[in-house]
Amino acid sequence: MNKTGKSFHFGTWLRDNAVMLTFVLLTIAAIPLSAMKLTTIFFELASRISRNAFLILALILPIVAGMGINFAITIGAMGAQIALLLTLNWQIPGFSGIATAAAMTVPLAGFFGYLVGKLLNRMKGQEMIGSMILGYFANGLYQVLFLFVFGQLIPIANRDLTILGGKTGISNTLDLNKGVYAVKGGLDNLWKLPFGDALYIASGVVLFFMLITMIDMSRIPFLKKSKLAQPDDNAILVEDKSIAYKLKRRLPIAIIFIAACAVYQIPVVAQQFMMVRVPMVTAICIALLGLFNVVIMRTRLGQRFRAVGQSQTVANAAGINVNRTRLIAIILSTIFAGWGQLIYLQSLGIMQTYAAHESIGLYAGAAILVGGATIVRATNGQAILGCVLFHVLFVVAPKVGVNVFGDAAIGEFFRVFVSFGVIALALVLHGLRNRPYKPRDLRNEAGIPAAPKPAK
Amino acid sequence: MGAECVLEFKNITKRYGTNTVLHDVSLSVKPGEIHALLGENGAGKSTLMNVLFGMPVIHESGGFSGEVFIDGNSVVVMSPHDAMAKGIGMVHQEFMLIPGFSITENIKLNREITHRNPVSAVLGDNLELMDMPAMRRDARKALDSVGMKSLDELALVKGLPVGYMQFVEIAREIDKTGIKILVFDEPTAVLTESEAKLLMEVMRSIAESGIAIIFITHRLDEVLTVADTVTVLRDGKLAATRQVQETSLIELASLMIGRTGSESVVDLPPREEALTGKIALKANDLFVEMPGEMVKGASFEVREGEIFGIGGLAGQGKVGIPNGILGTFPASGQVELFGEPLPLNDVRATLSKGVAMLSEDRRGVGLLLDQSIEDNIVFSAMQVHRRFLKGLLPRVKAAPPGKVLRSAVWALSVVLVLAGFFGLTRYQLAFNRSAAVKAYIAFQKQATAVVGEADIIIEDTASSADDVVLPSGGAAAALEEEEAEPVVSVFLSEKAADTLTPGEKILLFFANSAWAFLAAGLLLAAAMYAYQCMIKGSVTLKDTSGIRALSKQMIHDLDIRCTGSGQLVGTLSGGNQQKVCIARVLALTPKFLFVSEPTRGIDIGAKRLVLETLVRLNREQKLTIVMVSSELLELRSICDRIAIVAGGKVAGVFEPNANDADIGLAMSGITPERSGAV
Repeated sequence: MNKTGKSFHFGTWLRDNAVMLTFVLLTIAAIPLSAMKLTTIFFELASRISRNAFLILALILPIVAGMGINFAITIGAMGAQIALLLTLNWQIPGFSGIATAAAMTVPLAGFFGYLVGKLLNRMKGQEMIGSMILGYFANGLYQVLFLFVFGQLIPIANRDLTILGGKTGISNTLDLNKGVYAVKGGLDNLWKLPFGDALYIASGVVLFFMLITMIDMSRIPFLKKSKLAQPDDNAILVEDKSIAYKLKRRLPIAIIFIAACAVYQIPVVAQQFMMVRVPMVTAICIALLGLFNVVIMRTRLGQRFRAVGQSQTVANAAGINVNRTRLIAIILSTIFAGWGQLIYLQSLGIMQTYAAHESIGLYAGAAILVGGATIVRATNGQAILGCVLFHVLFVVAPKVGVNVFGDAAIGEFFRVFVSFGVIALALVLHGLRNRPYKPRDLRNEAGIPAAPKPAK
Repeated sequence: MGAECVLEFKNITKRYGTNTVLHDVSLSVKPGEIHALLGENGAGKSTLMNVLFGMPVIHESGGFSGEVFIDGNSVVVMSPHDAMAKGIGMVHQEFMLIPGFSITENIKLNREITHRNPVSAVLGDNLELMDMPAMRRDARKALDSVGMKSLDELALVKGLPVGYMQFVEIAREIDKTGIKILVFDEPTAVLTESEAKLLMEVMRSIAESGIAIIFITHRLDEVLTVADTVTVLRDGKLAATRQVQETSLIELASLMIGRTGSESVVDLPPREEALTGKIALKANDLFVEMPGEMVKGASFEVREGEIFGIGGLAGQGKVGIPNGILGTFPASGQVELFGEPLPLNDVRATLSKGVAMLSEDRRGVGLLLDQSIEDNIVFSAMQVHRRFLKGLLPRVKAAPPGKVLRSAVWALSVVLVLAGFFGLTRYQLAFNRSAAVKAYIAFQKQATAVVGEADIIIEDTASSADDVVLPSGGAAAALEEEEAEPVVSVFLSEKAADTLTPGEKILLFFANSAWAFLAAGLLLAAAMYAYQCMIKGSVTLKDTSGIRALSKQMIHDLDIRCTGSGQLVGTLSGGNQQKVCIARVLALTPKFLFVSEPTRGIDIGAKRLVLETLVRLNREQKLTIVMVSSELLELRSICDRIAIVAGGKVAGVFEPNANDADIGLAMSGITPERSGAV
């Protein structure tokens, strides 16, 4: 949308992508050290990406709206877990179980998001720490709810869910693959395809939509857009409609998909993916959220998100209700996080009642930063790239720990260290980039050629 | 006047508490007229515009009296959005643009052109998709009409020259439908000369299309070039309204500044001896990057023993000068103090050379509000000159070999600590891999197996433990201690030392004495630290009695009204806080004093006292003072000379009794060529 005559500075690019590049190097170094087969890595990776990508994409809206990483997605996940528990109690199995839980997540997570948003509006500038602490606070309430309220005040008929089959408290681990109400794979198992087929379908869909959008809609009579969009006679914007212009903008993506399909034809490459089976419905959900993130930015609401994110003062002066816009961003993010947690749980097949939600904010935040996002700017691409890089490291780190240090635990420590480290690094870089006083050349601005040397 | 005026203010009076900031101001603007609004800071221009835009600050402080008419109808504007709806637009002084947005997006911000779609039909028009081509067309049209024909409407605002942003702002206001009145708030402050010229043309063409323009400025020449009518405000009162053809630069300047009579704030005692004329401070080509108060090449000289005033309008750079010289904001240029070059950007060095500053920002950098009066008074002196401190440890002189020896001892302590850590950790790894240890561990496993069998035997036969077959010698002893001690150290202490290699013997030594090494290293370091503190005298306590004596003296001298020197500064009144600031500066025993806006926000009685104090310091202690103030009257009453700063440069230096018109011209950046300038 923005065409700028920016020239490419390698140094700037390097600095802006420092976090991502460090991680790429780390990953490249770690894969051989782990001595794992690529088939295994890809297999693990496919399930981890399908589990986590939705959660990471849920972070984008608040970042765009200038609220940083929404660590309060933890609270959305709690909402989802409440919904899932009720579904298990009512013994709704499979996809219908997940769908029920997803539907109930909307009011629950939406309400929590509203409360979070209200609070964050009162602590502008401290949203990240605010949402993180809020997550810990909410965890206390969550424990009261699950240890006492469920069973005592809200009856739980399904005694598989309570501690020792008693009346009080939900057990520590819920097996989602047990009994008639099993919801494990409620989405994943609906439709699974080998990697190759999934790739072909994805490429086909992307290319098809590219072709569609290249057709000039205004030429087709019954598809005419609103009256305002009618080009008038002295339209200046010819290039916007020309096929060549559209082709130029869409070509890179098309090339990536075609190239991917072509490379996949090489038997050795295809072999590495032989164990991967893509859960298509989950993948479609992820793609839809990605699409939503793009499309919303082209609406009036999206424009408000971006405006508020860049300058609350200016947005306010333009008559935008800043607080309301921020509230909407947080509510949406919290609901998406709830859905993301459902996807995660149905894929995993087991719910650690008191731990499953605890560190998702941290890991999702770290992942999106690894992808090259900052706490003020994030895109779908960065979220997906971050998801891939971060989880490659997660898969290989224990093995590297065994091979290099003789202890798998060191690998585990390392990945926790990396998660926090990445967030800290991103914050430091952000701080460096936004120093209050940037050196300015006043003499230049005043039109004086060069600074005279101070007299000795 | 009826409907021929698009905007009319009638008898507007606005009070903040007891302070009247607008007094019975009336003015009217016709469609297509460019009406300039002229006045010093605090003359009431902003308040008048706040009334026009219905800013919350007006309504929250009790509203105003008088009436505003738009198109002949009496209106009360309740909020800025309301103003927008009534057709009043504003071109802001600070740009209200979003840097990361394209020009089009900025122009159409919150007024986006959108299409309906099925989702938005259900969930509200916020989800309508933007129609970028239509928005671009509108933006293009608006840009063309402000003369920016070559500017790409899709360029990001971020990369634009500052001047262009001003035009984007104007384009945005023009693009709003139904705009009747457009307010330009000092639009030329950031423009180059040619851009300013273009702006004048654009303003003319906007006015010709029937929009009324209110042009707030302090540049008199621009008023004469572009405006039709000019209204001068002074001290919240209407000074005059003139047709531009009927007035002149000189008249406007003196209208803007003019004071009735020459009442002085304080009585000036005469000097005992005349000034020597020696130069105390010489600044040449000084640049200071103080946001909002940029100094761009100021040069001036201050004579020893004088009170030198620096005046000028807000944002022109007068406050930047003392801040730059002191080093609180990045500065460049040459500054000489009493003939010596003064290092810039180094507050500590400047302070230690005897320069002190009374900051304009009392609450921000001036005072520690939750500390006592005495602590505030001595704070800077303690930090800069290390006064009011008593040594806790006896001071010693450094021994002759000094630095080299001390460095060596430091190094030794570091080595000892490292050796300790090495002994604690590293050797174990090494031993785990050594052949001797492997053999031992293998042996031990074997022994355990035997013991295990033996245990069963014991149970079965109920015989004594002596019957158990054990491996012979030291290994047996080791076995008994096995559970209490880690494998390796048992082995090292009990197993015959003669089976070890020399390398292993060294490791053994480190292993056994690791804790001794660590302790020795840490003790040595602690002792060295204490010794260095004694040399430097850096372990100190406050000299409470000395501080109290000085505080008492200051409280008496400056007449600080308080319950005692221990009272918290935050609980004092504004005037008394300012006196504490002065006391603190005096505790530095300065040779050269900068005073920045010393009377801001304090009442008239306290003002007089502060000024009198400054004069007394000047006369009695021969202290050279540079006083920066927005209040010309104050400067005129105590200064020997007054420099007027405009556009970051010194526009002229005047005698305190200089002509109003000259000072007014200097304030708008025109250096007067007539008499009066020194």
